[in-house]
Amino acid sequence: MTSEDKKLILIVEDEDDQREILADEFKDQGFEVATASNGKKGVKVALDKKPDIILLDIVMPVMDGLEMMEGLRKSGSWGKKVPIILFTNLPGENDKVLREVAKNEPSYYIVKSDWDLPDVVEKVNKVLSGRE
Amino acid sequence: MEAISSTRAFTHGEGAWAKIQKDAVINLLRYVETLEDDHHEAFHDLLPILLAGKEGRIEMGKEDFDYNTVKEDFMRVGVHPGDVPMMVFMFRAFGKAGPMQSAMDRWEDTDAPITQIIEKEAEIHEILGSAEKKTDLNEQQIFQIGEAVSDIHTLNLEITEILNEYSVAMGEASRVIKNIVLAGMLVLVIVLGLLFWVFALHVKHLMVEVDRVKSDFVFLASHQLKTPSTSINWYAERLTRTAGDLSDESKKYLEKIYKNSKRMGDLVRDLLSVARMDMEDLSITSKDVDVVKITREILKDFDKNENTETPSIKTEFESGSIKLHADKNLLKIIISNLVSNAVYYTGKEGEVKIKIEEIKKSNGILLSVSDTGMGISEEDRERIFDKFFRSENAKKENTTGSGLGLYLVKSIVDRVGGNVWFESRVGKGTTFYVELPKAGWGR
Repeated sequence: MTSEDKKLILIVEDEDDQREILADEFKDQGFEVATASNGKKGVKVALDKKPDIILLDIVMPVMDGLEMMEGLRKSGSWGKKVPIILFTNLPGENDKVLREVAKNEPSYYIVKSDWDLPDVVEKVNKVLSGRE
Repeated sequence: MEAISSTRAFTHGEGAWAKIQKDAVINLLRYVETLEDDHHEAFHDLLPILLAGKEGRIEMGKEDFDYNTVKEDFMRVGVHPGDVPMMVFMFRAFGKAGPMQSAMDRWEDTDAPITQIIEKEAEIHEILGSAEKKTDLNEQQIFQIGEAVSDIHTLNLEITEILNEYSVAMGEASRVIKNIVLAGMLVLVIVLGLLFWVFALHVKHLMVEVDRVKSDFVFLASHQLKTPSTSINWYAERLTRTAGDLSDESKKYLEKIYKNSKRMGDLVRDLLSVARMDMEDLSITSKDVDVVKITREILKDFDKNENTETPSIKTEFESGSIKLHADKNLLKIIISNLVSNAVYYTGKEGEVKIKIEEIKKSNGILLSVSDTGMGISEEDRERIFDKFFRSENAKKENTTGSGLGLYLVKSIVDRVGGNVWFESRVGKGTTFYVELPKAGWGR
């Protein structure tokens, strides 16, 4: 949680370029930003800083996004409830992924290549306001 | 073939020899009758031939046989030299067992009687040689000659019987060899057939492999391209917003970069869809969807484009909501491809109309997308659904476009059990029709 009205978003993404520009965009849009470059670091930062929402890439080294999400959901009451938006370039129709995904109740699933940054920010805001 | 003809040579040889043997015996009997030396001479002339064949036969059976010895001996009986090689081969291959061996044994059985006939003749000659006429002979001599002639008759009969048995055995051998050869040829044909079949299977397997590798490559390549493509998109778009005081020219360039990066992203996405289609990876997940709602969402993108070049877009839906049990994503691909084609190939003065109606008869829907655009020429009709096909006119009008859109539409429609066709007039416009089942996609 954060001190002011600013929401904290955790961006977990292994592609450096994408992680940086996402951070820049969200900062511009009035967010506090924390980042991690793989699932393992992501879990640590999440449990430590307790962000208001997590933007989570799926394909990552060391620990992928699905594993991290499962880990968080099992970690306790906070982990169970934190909104997670899955973020990926995997084809949306992949049954196996969808099943894994549904199991752990992400809030949403965004296919990166179809979305512009402002749209992502809009979605994040919608999810956050939906929860409030 | 030669194997079979060699048995003929064996029979021919025996025939020639039998004739000689008959002649010898006739001469011998004449000699006894007439006491004329001519007959005795004639008998002796025939001796070498009578004795011929035996040497060759024995030689053939040796480990280290001399071919020329065999050839010369057989030729004395009247065998053609050209037949000898095969006769030798047949003897050595088949002569040790089976019907050919019986024939050879019979042949060997003639050795003794022939030797005895020759001995008898010598005996007779000894007695008659000194006499000028029959009356010169004493009783004992006449008796001896009588005995000898009687023996010769017996031996002659014996030889005749043996030669008959030889012929029968050779006949049998010929049949057996013919069957072996036929069986061998059959086996050869079957083996060759099998080999060819295995080869053909292998080739087919290779072709399937090659096709799969191609699809795998396209899939992997386009998947890999997505990441940098996404990054460029985001940076270009954010740059257009955050560049601040840029000259108009710079702003224009930025817009172009962004536009093209989006175009690249679309192409990569289409390639990926096509690759997955080829790999038959596209699974169909149906659920309850509203095709009217989906269409409206897609059309929102075309409005949002801020593109002053787009024609006006009208819709005509039979009802405010038309439900299907279908795959939402595949439906979206069909509709968005048809709409974007209609929009891109129609000028801003033109009009695009999207119509969806229900077909009660087949429990399906008919989607039609019409435009007042450039139309499809006669020569392009056949290829309009081909992968990567773009007509010359289309290329001139719109340099973007992958040529994959209609291919994708047709692949999906065929896959889910629908139909797609079009009507068009050059310069006037085109209407694409898609008939889709309301449920049971992919069955």
